[in-house]
This record gives sequence, structure tokens and C-alpha cells, in this order.
Amino acid sequence: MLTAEHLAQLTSLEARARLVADGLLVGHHRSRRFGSSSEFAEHKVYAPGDDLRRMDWKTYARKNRYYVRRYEEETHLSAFLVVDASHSMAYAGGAKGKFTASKFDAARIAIAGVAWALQHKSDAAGLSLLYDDGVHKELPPSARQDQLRQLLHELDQAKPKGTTVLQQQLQRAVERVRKKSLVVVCSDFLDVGDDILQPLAVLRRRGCDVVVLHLMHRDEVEFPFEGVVLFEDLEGDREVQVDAGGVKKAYLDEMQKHCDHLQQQCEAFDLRYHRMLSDEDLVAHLRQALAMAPSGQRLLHEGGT
Amino acid sequence: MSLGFLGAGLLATAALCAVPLIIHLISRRQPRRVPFAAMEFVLRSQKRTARNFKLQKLLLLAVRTLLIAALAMAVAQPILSRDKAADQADQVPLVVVVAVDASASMRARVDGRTRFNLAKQHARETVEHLAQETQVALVLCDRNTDVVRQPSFDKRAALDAIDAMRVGFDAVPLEGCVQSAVGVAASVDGQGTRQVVLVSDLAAHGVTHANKAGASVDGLVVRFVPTDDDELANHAVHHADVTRKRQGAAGDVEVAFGVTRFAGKTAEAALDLYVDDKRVAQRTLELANKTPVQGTFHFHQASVYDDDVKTAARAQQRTVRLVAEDDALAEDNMLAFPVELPAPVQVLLVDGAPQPIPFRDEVYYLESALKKSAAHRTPLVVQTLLPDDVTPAVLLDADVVVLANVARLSDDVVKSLVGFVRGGGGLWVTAGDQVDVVWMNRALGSVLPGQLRGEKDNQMLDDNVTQALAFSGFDRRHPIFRPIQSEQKNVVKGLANAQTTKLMLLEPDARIEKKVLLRFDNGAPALVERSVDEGRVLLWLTTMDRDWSDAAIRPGFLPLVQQAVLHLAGQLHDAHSRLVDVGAVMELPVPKGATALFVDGPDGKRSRVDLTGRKADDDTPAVFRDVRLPGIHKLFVEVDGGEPRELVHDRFAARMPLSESDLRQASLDQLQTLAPQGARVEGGPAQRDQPLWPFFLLALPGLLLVESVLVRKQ
Repeated sequence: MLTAEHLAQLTSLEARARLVADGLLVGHHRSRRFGSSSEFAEHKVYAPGDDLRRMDWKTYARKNRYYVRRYEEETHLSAFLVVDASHSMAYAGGAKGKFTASKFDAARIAIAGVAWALQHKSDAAGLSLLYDDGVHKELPPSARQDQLRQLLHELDQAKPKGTTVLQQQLQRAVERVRKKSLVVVCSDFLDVGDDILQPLAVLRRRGCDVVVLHLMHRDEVEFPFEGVVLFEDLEGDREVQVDAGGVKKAYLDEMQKHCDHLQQQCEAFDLRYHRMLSDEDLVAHLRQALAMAPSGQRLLHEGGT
Repeated sequence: MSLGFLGAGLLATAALCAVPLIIHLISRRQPRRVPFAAMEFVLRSQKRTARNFKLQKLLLLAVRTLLIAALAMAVAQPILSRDKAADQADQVPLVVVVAVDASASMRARVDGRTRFNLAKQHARETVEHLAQETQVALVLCDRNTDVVRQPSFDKRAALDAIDAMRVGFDAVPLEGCVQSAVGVAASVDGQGTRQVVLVSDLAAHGVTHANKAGASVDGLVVRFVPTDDDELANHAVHHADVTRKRQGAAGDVEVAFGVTRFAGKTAEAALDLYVDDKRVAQRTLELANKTPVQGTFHFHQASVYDDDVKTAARAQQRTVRLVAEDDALAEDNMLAFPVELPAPVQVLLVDGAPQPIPFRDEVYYLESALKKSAAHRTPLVVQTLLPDDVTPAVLLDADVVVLANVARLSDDVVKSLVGFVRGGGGLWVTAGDQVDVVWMNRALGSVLPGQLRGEKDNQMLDDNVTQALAFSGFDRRHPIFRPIQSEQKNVVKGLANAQTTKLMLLEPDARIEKKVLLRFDNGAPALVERSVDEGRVLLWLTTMDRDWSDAAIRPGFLPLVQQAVLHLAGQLHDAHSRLVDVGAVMELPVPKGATALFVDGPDGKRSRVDLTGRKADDDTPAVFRDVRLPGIHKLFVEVDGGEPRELVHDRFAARMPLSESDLRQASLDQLQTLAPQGARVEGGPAQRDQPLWPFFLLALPGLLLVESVLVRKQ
């Protein structure tokens, strides 16, 4: 199981990303698909049903046996990876004095892993880091060799800050997304506005596969606090003192309602919604999330036939 | 009502109530700071639960505080008591009549003080709290229901009169007491409230309904003030009877007793039997509520005789006491009564006509009959002597002397014999051929029931008597006939067929005070009795053998002669039969010639019995109405201004009335019947202190349950 916490033991984000990518691409390290590109791949003994147009008559002349030509298919998948970098993503637990890897850690490892996998398959990967102050880092999707290095660098250097105004940030981020791209948005989605997913819905209408990766910390889901607790807002100055036991039920109700609402919205907009906790197996969740989208399936799928 | 605590000191544990509050405050002061991302949701949930949470928090705090408070209260054992101050009148009355119950049950002790003393204290407090313009009167509810103080404004004198009140041993109906007090209240002129305050144990036995409540008075308030709030359990020894039995293993004296417990649970109590100061038996009784326990003690009378044989030669007056274990009312735990323990009766038979053939001997049948009494309750020691062998010294040891057909005795013996009789001895003279009438009349005339005229046989009898004489007409009340009384009038059982052919006649002499106990059917006396000072003399006017009469071979002869001898020895009296209640009207025997009769009470105080207007020959009993104390009363008679002498056999015992032993309180309904109609009734039987701590104990699990539910909910 590759959790963010386990991966945090590796010092470089690159190493972590590679491990995740290996997990995603387990069993087929090459992202080759056979198609109708100009680059020859191999010969195949003719079998009834094969396209006769691909018959290699020269080889038949030499070997007196029928072979058909097979070509490597060209990769044109463009993925746009969006990571919420608001301060709320920095939450790393502390309900019982025990801290784990933050949500942002988990997010950047996951996104880095996906980026690595894309690079491995020669697909184009872009990155957008969302901050509230409008200064959001963005790397346009590219399949260049140094794209991964830059992407990992940006992720590595990023520090969560500011408040979440997800809808506006997404609006800006998706403007440059090409048609039929794979868009992976990783956020805690704690911004509870109704229009939060509107930009993603637009993307979906433009033919993009949008995977909504709802990343939460276990404390936010289970609310394991006890006694009287003074909660301080990570993204503002708000404070509230509550009896954790007293509000737990109401909190869990509210949180459940919020998650359900988010999921319903995703379904309404034909977005692929997947919820994961920051301390869970990243690879397994990523595989499940990507498997929901056709382009994601293509990423995970073994090379072409 | 007021709240009291049995364990007031432990009430300090109530301070623990502050613990949850302190914990609550401490926990509020130190919240843990947690930076959190999903703040919006926390705020929402806090807003949603704030009201409920605060409410639950307060509820939890309250429950925890109550929990500790309930624990503290349970430990402190609170009781709900009657608030006496609330009974105080709110209006200044015109007159207050304080009636203090002085019946025997007021002797019961509560915490070391008698209820009568508590009643006096209540009475004092009542008087002390009266306004200056209120008159006060006092009624002491004893046997006479005395108005101790007529209405007056002098409170000081009333307080002194309360101090002087004394409790009695009588049963006092409260109706009379209230009526008397109402009468006193009504006698005061003026407008205003008239209060009757009855301070009593309010025992149910006082409500007898013997008298109807009197007429009401305007503005009358009857207040019943109980002396205390306790319902006391009590047992009483209320019955005793002594009978002498044939000799047996257990003993020859049987003392039957009855003990009853009133109120309370079944309990064991020891019962001791004392003869004078010597404890002769003890038993432990299991006494159930209102169930009389009856039983018997046995002991050998020989075991309680004095060691001095000479003293034992006389019948002994003893005090028998049944003493039960102590309880709230000690006065009914002891029952004392006089018992005459008979000594063996020494009978001296003087055989005036001895014969070599036994059955022809003058005293053969008499001696045989008396010796048959060996197994009887009173042993008779019979000694037979010839007239010449009788000496004054012999008489000293005798209780009864029988002169059977004796011709003469020496002058010394005669002199001693007369002194013997006057000193309390018994003399039985029987007739016969040997009797020297002239000598007899001269020598023993001073003690004989009459002068002998001479013998008369059947040839000399009246014409209408052809053959022989039978016995007819006897004194039915006389103790010597007790065993041979017949249901048929004038028929002596066992002697109905006795035939007498010869008899001794008496000279008619009205000057000699005598009783004819038995007559022949021709009217001639057959058995005559005379009391001479302390002694008794019987005269049997025919022979003791079969010479003149065949009575000696009749079945009634044996009991007759035994009874006669015991009677002469003064041993046919059972003092225990005279057990009466204090306050009872006693009928006392008045001896002939008595000029004064006195009764000495157990306290030694002498009361004179009223004999005014009695005739000399009046043999009806005198009435004595002054039995005030439980215990043994002695009767003294004065004859012709001489020194009063005790009538030893007429002692009687008094006991506390049994009804007074039942200390259970009357209900308010019962008490209301005591007050005249229209009167306002206040107070009543003290309500029991209501223990509240069990409720707190019961509340604890409930509070714990609520607390755990609240905690779980949070």
C-alpha cells in the first residue's frame, strides 16, 4: 500500500512520483499501442480477418509466407492536472495529537504520479496550482522530455496558502484546456458554494474527461475530537469553541450532506467523482478514479492491440 | 412541617455538590486549540447544536449536582417532622383551658422522660406563650378530673400549679376530661375564642365513648397536643393466679400468668417469678402484637419457707411478684399480690374415749381422715394424746387442737388452751358420752360457741322424728363446705344420708356471737363456729365416731373434717383472688363489732373506710373507693377503740388497668368525637416523622441513569 505517509519517507518528489506511476502502470511499463502510425513496429503472421491493406508483399516474396505490418500508434493524450493549493490543504491532522501527511502532500504525490505515468506514455501533462490570490502556477500540457521535471519542480516548491475560492480559480485554470483533454482536479472541495463545479462542467461539455478527486483528511470525515476544543480556521481568523462530542453528530451530518451534494453535482455534470482520504492507498484510489474516465482508462490500459 | 436530619453532621457532604460545578468551570477554562480545515462545517454544526448542547450541558450539570446532593441527603437521613409552631393560634383567645392527661399510660417513658413530664412541659409552653389578656385555667385529667386552676390572668400561679401536678395510675376517659375543660371554658364571660388544649399521649384507650360529647360553646377550639411523636411498643403482665396442687415434680404451687404485648413487632421478653425477694422461676416469652400469652410457673412451697422451723410452723404471708422485662411503661411490667403459703398444720387430737379396738376409738375416723391428707396440698401432721398427757408445752407446737369427747383437762392445760385460742389457735370440740357438761361450760365457756345443755338421744326427740336426724341447712358461703357443696339446697354432698341418733344441745344464748354452720333437720345446731380474738372454735355437737352418728363413715366426712381443720388453722384463704384494677370499687368484709376499718396502701398511707350509718349486725361488705396505687393493700380493723389489727387473710392486690398498657394513639377521627359538635378541632395524633432519605436513595439510580444517558448522548 502506498500512502502519502509512506511515500513521505522518500526525500524527492520524483522518487515518490515514480513509485506511484509504477503502481499505476504495473505490468506494462511501456505505453505502446499499436495503431496506424507511420512508424513500423513489427510483422505479424497473417490471420484471417487482418486488414489485407497491411499485407507486406515484399516479405511474402522473400519468405513465401503472409505477413501483415504493424505500426506504433501515436500518443495524443493531453492531461491537465489541477491541484488545490489553498491553506486548507495543509491540514495534517492533530485530533489526538498525532500528525500525518497533509492533504497537500497526498495531492502532490498523486498528481506527480499521474504526471509521471503520462510522461512515461509520452502523453502531454499540464499543471495548475490554485491559490486564492490569483497567483496560480500553471504549466501548459506538453509531452516534452523536460515537462515532467518542471512539473515536479513546481509541485515540490508549492506551499499551500490563502483561502479557497475554488470556482474562480478553476475558471481561470481551465481557460487554456484543450478539447478532449483529461482533466484531473484534486481538492478538498471545502468551499461549499453551489457553483464550484461550473467551470468543470464547461470542460465536460467541451469533451474533456474530468476526474474530480475529492481528497479529505480522515479527521474531517470522522471528526475524532474529544472534549472542549477551540477550532481555528486554517484559511482565516475564525475561531470557535465547541464540545467536540456534542457537535460530532451534527458535523458528520453536515459533512456527509456536503459530500453527497458534491457527488450529485458531479453526476449531474457527468464528472467522474472519486473520494479518497489522505492516509489511504494513493495508487489504488488513482487507479479507481482514472478508470472511471475513458482517457484515464487509456492511460492505465496496457498497450494497444 | 419541618425538615430535620438524623445525621445532620453528614450534611456537609452536600458540599460535594460543588464538585461538578468546579469541574465544569475548570473544563471551560482550558480548551484545546486545533487548527482545522473544515471550519465551515464545524461552525454550521455548532450553530445547529448550540442550543441543545447548552441545554444538555446544563441538564448534565444539574443531574450531577442532584446526584451528589441526593447522596448527601441520603447520608444525612432527612426526616419530615411536624411543625409545632404551625399549630400556634393566630388569634388571641379569651380563655385557654389546658387539660393535662394524668392517666397511667402517661407514665410511659420517651428518651428517659415520662410522657407526663413532657405533657407538663407542653402545658408550660402553652401557658408561657399566652397573651396577657388571655385567661388560663388548668384541668388535671386524673381519676376525678380536677379543675386545678379556675380561669384567671395569673400565669405564674398556673405555672406553679402545672409543676405541682402528679400522674396517677388510673384509666382516665378523655371524654370526661374534655367535657370538664369545655365547661370551664364556657364559664368565662366575654366574647372571643375559647380554647381547650388537651395535652395527652392521645392513646386510643382514652377514647371510650362512655360519655357523649357535651354541648358546644361559641368560638370553641379544641386542640389535641400529643406529648411526643413516638408510638411505643409495650407489654403488660395483666393476669396472675395461684393454686396449690398435689405434690408433683414441678412443684406444689402453680402460678398462672397472662402477658400481652401492644404494638410493635413480635419480641422476646423475660418473665421472672419472685416470692418476696427470692427469684424462684424464670421464663422467656415470645410476645406477638395483641396476642395474650398465658402460661404457668411451678415451684415447691417448701423451697420458699423460712429456714426457721418455728416460723414455718405458721402459715406465711408472702408477696408473689411477676416481673417482666423492662419496656416503655415499667409500671405494668410487675404484678404483685399476697399469697398465703401454708405451713404444715400441726393437729393435736385429744382422745377422750380411747378404745383397744381401733374402729371403736373416739378419734379413729378423724385421725384416719386427717392422715389421708398427706398427699393433699397442705400437709397435716396429726398427733393423738390422751387428756392426761396433754400439757401446756404440747400446745405450743399445735395449730389445731381437737377435744374429742374429752371429759376434763387440767386447769393449766385449760388456761393454756384458752390462751392458745385467743392467740390465733384453732379449737375443735366434739361431743360424746364422756363430756362433762358442767366442767366444759365452766372451763371453756369463754371460748365455746355456746353453753352445753346436755345430750339428747332419739327417744327424747320430737314426735315427728321417728328414727334419726339428718343434716339439713348449712352456711353455703363458708369455706369448709366448699368441696362438698351440692346443687341441691340444704344438702351437704356426702353427708346427705348421715344419720344421727344422739346429739348435744346448746343453751340458747344471744350474747355469744357464733355462726351455726350446719344444722340437724330438727333445727338443732350440728356445727357451730365462734371467733375468739385471733382464733376460731368449732363445736361438733355429736360424736366423731359412730356412737351417736354415722357421719364418720359417710363420704363427706373426710373433706369436711379436713376443711374444718384447715379453716381452724387459717389456711383456707387465697389472697390472690382479690386482684383488682386501680380505681376499682372494692367490697371489704367488716368484722362484727368493728368500729373502724382502714386500708394501708402499698405506699404505707392509711385510708379510712367509711362505715358511717352501719348497724352493728350489718354483715354486708363496706365499699372502698380509694384504690389509687398498684400493689398490695392491707386491711386493718379497729374494735371498740382498741389497737387496729390486720385482717391478714383479707389483703388484696391492685394492678394498673390493662387498657392503659395499650399505648397506641387514637386516630384523628376518634379524637374528633371527643369535641362538642360545632367546635373547631386542631392538632391530633402526631404524624410520624416521615423519613425522606429512602426516597433520595431511590433517586440515586435514576439520576445515575439519566446522567449516563446524557453523557452517551453527547
